[in-house]
Amino acid sequence: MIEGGPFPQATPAEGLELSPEELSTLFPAHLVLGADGVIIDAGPSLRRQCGPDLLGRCFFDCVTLERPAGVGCMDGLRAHRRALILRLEGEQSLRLRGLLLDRGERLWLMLGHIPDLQAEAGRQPLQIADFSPTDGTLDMMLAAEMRSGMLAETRALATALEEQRNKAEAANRAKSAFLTTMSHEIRTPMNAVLGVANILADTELTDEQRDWLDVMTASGHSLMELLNNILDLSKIEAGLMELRPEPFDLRELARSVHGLFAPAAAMKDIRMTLDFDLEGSVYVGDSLRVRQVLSNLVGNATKFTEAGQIAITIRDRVEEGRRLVELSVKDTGIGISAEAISRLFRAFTQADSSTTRRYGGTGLGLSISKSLVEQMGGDIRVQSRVGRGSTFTALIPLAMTEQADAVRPVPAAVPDPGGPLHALIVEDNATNRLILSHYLRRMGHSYDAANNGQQAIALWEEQEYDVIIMDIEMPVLDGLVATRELRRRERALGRRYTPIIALSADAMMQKRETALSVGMDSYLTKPVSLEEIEERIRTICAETSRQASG
Amino acid sequence: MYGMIHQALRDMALREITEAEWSDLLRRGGHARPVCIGLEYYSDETTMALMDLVARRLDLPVEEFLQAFGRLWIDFAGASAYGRILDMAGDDFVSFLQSLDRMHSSIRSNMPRADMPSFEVVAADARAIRLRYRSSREGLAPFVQGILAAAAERFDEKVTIRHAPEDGAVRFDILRAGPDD
Repeated sequence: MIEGGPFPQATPAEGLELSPEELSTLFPAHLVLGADGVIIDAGPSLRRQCGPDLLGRCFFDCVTLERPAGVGCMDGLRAHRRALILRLEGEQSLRLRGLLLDRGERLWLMLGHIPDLQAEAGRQPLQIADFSPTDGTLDMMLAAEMRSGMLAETRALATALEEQRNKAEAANRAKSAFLTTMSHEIRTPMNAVLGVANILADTELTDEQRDWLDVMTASGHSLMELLNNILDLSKIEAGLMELRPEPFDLRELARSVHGLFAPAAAMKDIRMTLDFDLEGSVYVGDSLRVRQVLSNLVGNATKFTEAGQIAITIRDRVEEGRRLVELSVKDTGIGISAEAISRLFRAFTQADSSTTRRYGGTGLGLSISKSLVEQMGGDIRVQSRVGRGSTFTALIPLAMTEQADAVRPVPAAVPDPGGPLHALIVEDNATNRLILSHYLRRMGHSYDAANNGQQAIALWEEQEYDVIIMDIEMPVLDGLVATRELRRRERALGRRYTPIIALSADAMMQKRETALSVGMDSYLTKPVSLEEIEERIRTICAETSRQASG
Repeated sequence: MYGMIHQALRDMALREITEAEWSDLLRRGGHARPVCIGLEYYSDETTMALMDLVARRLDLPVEEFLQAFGRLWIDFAGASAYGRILDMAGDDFVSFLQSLDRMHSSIRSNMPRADMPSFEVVAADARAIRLRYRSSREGLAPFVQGILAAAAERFDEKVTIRHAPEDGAVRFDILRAGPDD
């Protein structure tokens, strides 16, 4: 930086005389014109590109001047004395730019190449030696090539990523399909295992035999819980877990969960309390999933607490314009170390492997709960001290509503439909038919049995039934087609409406919706207990009867 | 060095090993991602460690591995963004060698962290070329030898190459086989 005034005048280039080699290196594409416009010398680049015939030719015969345009004589060139852009026609058509130096008899055109960046690689006539070392054009050419290289690399990466994503999605779909099939295949025999255990429980048993039966039943239910958890996790991972918000009574839900776990806690002399600090009662959300989360937290507290108490607190508050419901479960259990908390919400991970050995479980519950709460827009937090206990808090945004009427009532006591019913069992699995038959006998109902939908329609043609319990997957004619046909014939023949309860090994929500859409009234997932089927028959028949009379 | 070197290493490795094994080598070499970006800069230690891992996996002595990698590098660069500028390097082997410094100068202006070597054609005639190679890195003369051999092939020249240290540089003597040899 020069201080204190204007820049000094540029030093004249006295003594700067270039040797021919230096001139050729610095200006490999120069031209020298004589007074008559004849090319009398050229740099090595132009000699190489245009051949030896270039010398001696008239400049204006072999050049197209782009700038200055329209100049066709030496005087015009001299008068211009500015930047030049020209195209030199020869063996190769070369585009050049540069400056004109007027040295009396001779004009010196100090030029450099303008490469055609669009030309294909093989058609680019220029070489590195055609450019002056002081010319940045070569760098720009390389930069352009590198940009296109980067673009190609980015495209290749994007393609590879897309392929990998497609493969992952295909694998995920295959996994979901496998889990659905596995679920179906396990549920069917489990229905038999638990159903027969249920039947056995009604028979004369010794105390020892009853103990063994209890173990068998409990193990069956554990297996079903595991199966349901794996299915949930699969749906969450595949992004197929759908929330179904509707108004529900949060207090009632919490009381129900408390009622479910309080007896087990009491057996360990643990006091389980339930407190509310809620502004309302009816909230809008997926009650099934809210219940699942609260049940998981309370279930864990019950499992991991040996003495003391478990406090369930349900609060709500408005934060940043939205209402947050807080489900808090505080226990005096074994507690969790800070290190273990970091992996607590990962699937198949419990605090440590000894936890699995001592308390059982798969470690799926918290992972599923966290995913569900996050899908609802909330979060689960945990505070814990080893040996002192833990507090799990699920924060879920749930809108409050005053529409108490919108809450689907859960009948405390379903009215008796009024005497024995005549039912139709439609089930291809002989063991399941046997179990359902036993259940219906226990309930005091009579029944007929069909192996498939076609037999069911034939039996229905001959007589009226009060209720039909219909499997979905069956040979010859499946439950969905049979139901659609029964509903069609009811309308066509003016027969009275027969409630149909679907009984399926498919636990996916989609199948439930399909079943209801073809005209089934309710959907039960195998394995089904005597109590479940009894409650469902009462509910459906009462509802049908009310609608018929109303 | 820039990721293009790593990409060329991958090309070389995948001739003998699977993609999964390559990913494993990358992981063992300290790479966080399973891919190398061409214009991303990696420390020399990272690049050298990866070269060492590949050489071991391919069960090649270091010198032999570097020569083979140098040969592959010319093909790899020719098919990459450098391809066009390689084509512009000259119509014959000597012109190519004379253009190397200019080429590296242009590359350096686009890859500011590149530490480029220097090549000087000391003498050249129909029977031999003497080339002086200077680099801040040590031990890569076999890699250069592989590059020179592959470059000679590009111009249909059969050559025998020897190298030896000389005044802080490496002197390459390239013996050119005539049409009757």
